[in-house]
Amino acid sequence: MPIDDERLLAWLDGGLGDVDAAAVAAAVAADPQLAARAAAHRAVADRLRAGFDGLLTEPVPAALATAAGRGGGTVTDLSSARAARDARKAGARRSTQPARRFALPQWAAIAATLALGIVAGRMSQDVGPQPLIAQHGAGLEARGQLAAALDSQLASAPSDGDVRVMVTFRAHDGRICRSWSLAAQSGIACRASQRWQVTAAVATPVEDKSTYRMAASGDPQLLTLIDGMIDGAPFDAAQEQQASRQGWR
Amino acid sequence: MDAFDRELTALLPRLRRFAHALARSAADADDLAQSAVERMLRARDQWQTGTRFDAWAFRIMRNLWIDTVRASARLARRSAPEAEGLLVGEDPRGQIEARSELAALMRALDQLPDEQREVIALVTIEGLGYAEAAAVLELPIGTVSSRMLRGRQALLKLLG
Repeated sequence: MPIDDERLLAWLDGGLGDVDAAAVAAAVAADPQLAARAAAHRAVADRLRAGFDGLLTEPVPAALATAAGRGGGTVTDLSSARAARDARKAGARRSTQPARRFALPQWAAIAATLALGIVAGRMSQDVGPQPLIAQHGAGLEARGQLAAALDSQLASAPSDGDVRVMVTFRAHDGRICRSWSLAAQSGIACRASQRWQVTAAVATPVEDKSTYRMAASGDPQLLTLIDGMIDGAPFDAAQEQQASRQGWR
Repeated sequence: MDAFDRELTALLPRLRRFAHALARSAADADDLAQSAVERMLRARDQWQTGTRFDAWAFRIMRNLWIDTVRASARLARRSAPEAEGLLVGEDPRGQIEARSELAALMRALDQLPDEQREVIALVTIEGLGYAEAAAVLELPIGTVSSRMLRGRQALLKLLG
C-alpha cells in the first residue's frame, strides 16, 4: 500500500499504532523519495518546535503571572495588571500606524507602565557584565553574581549585594532550592550536579521596584511556586548554615 | 493553593507558547494568554480534577482566539505588518536571533488558514496527539489529519 503524505505525517507525529507505524517505517526505509519527504517534513516540524520552545524558558510576564495568581488568592493587585494590559493594547493600536511605530516616547511610556520581560533583562545587565542566567543543556542555570550569591549568601544574614537570597528549602524531589531576588526579577534555583538550575524566573512588576527589598518573603507568584515544591518548612538559620557547609546537597 | 492553581501556574509557559502559535504578534499573544487565563479562572469549576488540564486550558484559549483575536487580526492584516525590530525590542535576554526566528515562524503560520494553523499549534508545537487535538477542537480525527496535511505541505513551501 503506497504511503500518502497524510499517513507519513501521522507517522512522524507519532499518531499511528505500532503495526501501522512499522509499515510506514519499512516503506520509508525502502524508498529514498519517501525518506526525503519524511526528512523535509521532520525538519520543518523541528524548526517550529525549536523556535517556539524558546518561549518556555522566558520569564512569564508579570501581568500574566499576576492574572493567574489571582485564582489562588495570592495576588491582590489585579487592577495594575489590567491597567498594564490596557496600556499595552493602546500601545499596540498605536503601533499599527507605521509613522509612529518607533516613536520613542511611546515606547518609553509603555515600558514605564509595564512589567515586560525586557525590564528584567535590562536590569539584570545593569548589575554585572556577565549574564546571570544562561542556557545549560535543556534548562537554565545561574551564573556570575547570581550563582555566587546562591553559593555563599545566607538568607539569615542578608548582604548588600544586588542579589538577595530569600528562602532556602528542600523540595519534594530532594534537592535544595533557594529563592532569589534582583532589582527587576526574582526566581527559584535548585542545586543539581554542582550547578544552580533556575527553575523559575518572574519579572518583578515595575511599580514594586522601589520597595522590593522590603518584601522579605518575595514575589507572591514565587511563594505560590514554592508552596507547590516545598517539602516541610523553609530552612531556619542553623539548617541553612549546615546546608551551606555541605555544598547544598 | 489547590490543584487548579498548581496546574495553571505550571502551564503558564506553555499557554504563552500556544498563544504565540495562534496570535499574529507577540503583543497579541500575551493579550490572548492573559484574557484566556482570566476566562479559565472564571470557569475553574468546570475543570474536573484528574482530567487533563492542558487540553481543557487549550480549548478555552482556542475558543477565545476564535471569538476575538482572530477577528481583530483580520482587521490588522490590512495595515502594515509588525516590524521585526519591535519583536526584537521585547526580548528579555537579548536573544535577538531566537526572537527573529520566532517572528519568522509566526509570519509563516500567519499565512495558513486558521483551521490549519490551530491544528499545527496543538500537534506540532504543543505535542498533542491527533485524538487529543481532535477532542480540543471538537472535530473528527480524520478532519484533524487532513488539515494537518494541508498545513504542513504549505509550511514545507514556506519554511522548507
